[in-house]
Order: sequence, then C-alpha cells, then structure tokens
Amino acid sequence: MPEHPADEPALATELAPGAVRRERELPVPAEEAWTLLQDADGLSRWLADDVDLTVAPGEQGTVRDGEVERSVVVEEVDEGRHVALRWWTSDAPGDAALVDLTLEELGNRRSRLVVTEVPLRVIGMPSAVPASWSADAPGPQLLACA
Amino acid sequence: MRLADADRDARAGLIFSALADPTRRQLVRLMGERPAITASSLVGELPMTRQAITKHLAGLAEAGLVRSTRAGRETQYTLTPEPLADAMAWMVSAGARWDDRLDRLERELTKPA
Repeated sequence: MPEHPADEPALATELAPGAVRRERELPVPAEEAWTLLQDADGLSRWLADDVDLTVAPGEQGTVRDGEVERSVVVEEVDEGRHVALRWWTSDAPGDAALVDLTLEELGNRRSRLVVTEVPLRVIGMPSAVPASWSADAPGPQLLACA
Repeated sequence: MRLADADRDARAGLIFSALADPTRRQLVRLMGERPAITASSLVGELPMTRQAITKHLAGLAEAGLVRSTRAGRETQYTLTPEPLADAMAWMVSAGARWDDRLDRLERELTKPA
C-alpha cells in the first residue's frame, strides 16, 4: 500500500456517508503501539473484552464486547503499521463493517492511530457471511476501493 | 446487541447503501431545496435520462428517504429525511464505541510497566 501523508485519509472510503473515523495520538512510538495490535493478547487489552483471533490475513475469529459478539475476518496486515478487519454480528450478518487500523509514526517517541469503520454496503461490497467465506471466494480486495 | 439496535442498524445499512451513489446524494440535495420534484423536471439539470433519474429516485424510495405520489401522468417525489436519524444513530454509537476503545488503548500504553 502506498504511503499517505498524515492529513490524507488512508482509505478513500471514509468520505462515504456512514463512515466513522477517529484519530488518537499515542505517547509511544508506532513500534510499541503495534504490540497492542499484533495479536489477540494485545487487542483484548483495549479492543474488546475477549478477542479470539490470529492477526494474519484470512484468519477468522471472534471479538466479544459485553453481550455483543462479532465474527471477524482479517483482511490485511501490514506488519508494524496496519490491520484491516471485517466484522459482523450474528443477528445482522448482512451488515458487516470494514475496520481499518493504521499507525503513523510522528517522531519524538509519539505515534497516531487512525481508525475507520465503514459499513460494507456503503462501498458497494457484498457483506460477508461465514458460509460465503472460502478459499475459492476470498472476498473483495481492499485495494479495489482505496 | 438488543433487537431494537439490530433493526436500527439494518435500516441504517439500507440508507448508507442508497446514499453511496453520488447521483442519489445530489437528488437528496435538490429535493432538500424544493417541496417536490418530478423526474422530467430534472432532465435538463442532471446529465442523464429521465429513466435513469427515475431509477435513482426509486432506490431512494426503497430506503425510505423519498415518498412518491401520482400527480396526473407524472410521479412527484418528496424528501422524507426521518430515516436519516437511524443512519446518524449508527454513526454516533459506532463513534462512541471507538472513543471508549481508544481511551482504553491510551490507558494501556501509559500504564507504568
């Protein structure tokens, strides 16, 4: 994926209606922040109450937040800076959302995490349901909409 | 997730889907400026055929964003923006969930080792 200047969105999709975007400056370098994104142990410290997921492209798992459990598929991993997930709840499998987590190095031992969550319907992708997810039908590629 | 939330999220999905198309967003803007429109009244304003405009208006009607009424040989379309509240509610709650997660992330990173 090409580098994006800090003031430019990492994904063009966030300009779509319905996209949620958040930025947070972190008091550690990106390398250190990555330890909380790189695996289930790290993610379960902040993303949700329980995270059962291997952070590698194509892996499937679950993320539980209180009573809400989401199925998750890892779409993309760019070691040390970027993870893209697709998730959906079992009661609304047609409303999957794409979650993009991107770390930016700010220098001076600081970094920034940029988060976007966008419902897949917005960007014209078919939503994922577990049955449709297979090696034969790997789903849409992120780059196609970037 | 409560059932009411799931319903609301499903409706929000429909609305986002309808508004994903720039022509439909333009139609919503135009309708916001006028009490009602017909497909033929927009032919000169938009670079597309009446049939194409009618199709987009039907898509908006399906999402509940537009009400259609017959007026003689024409169909009149009126903006019904109430369903946008579902879409806004999704964005607000999804945004709040991320604020909470990012607060936790920041706390984890500032914890003394």
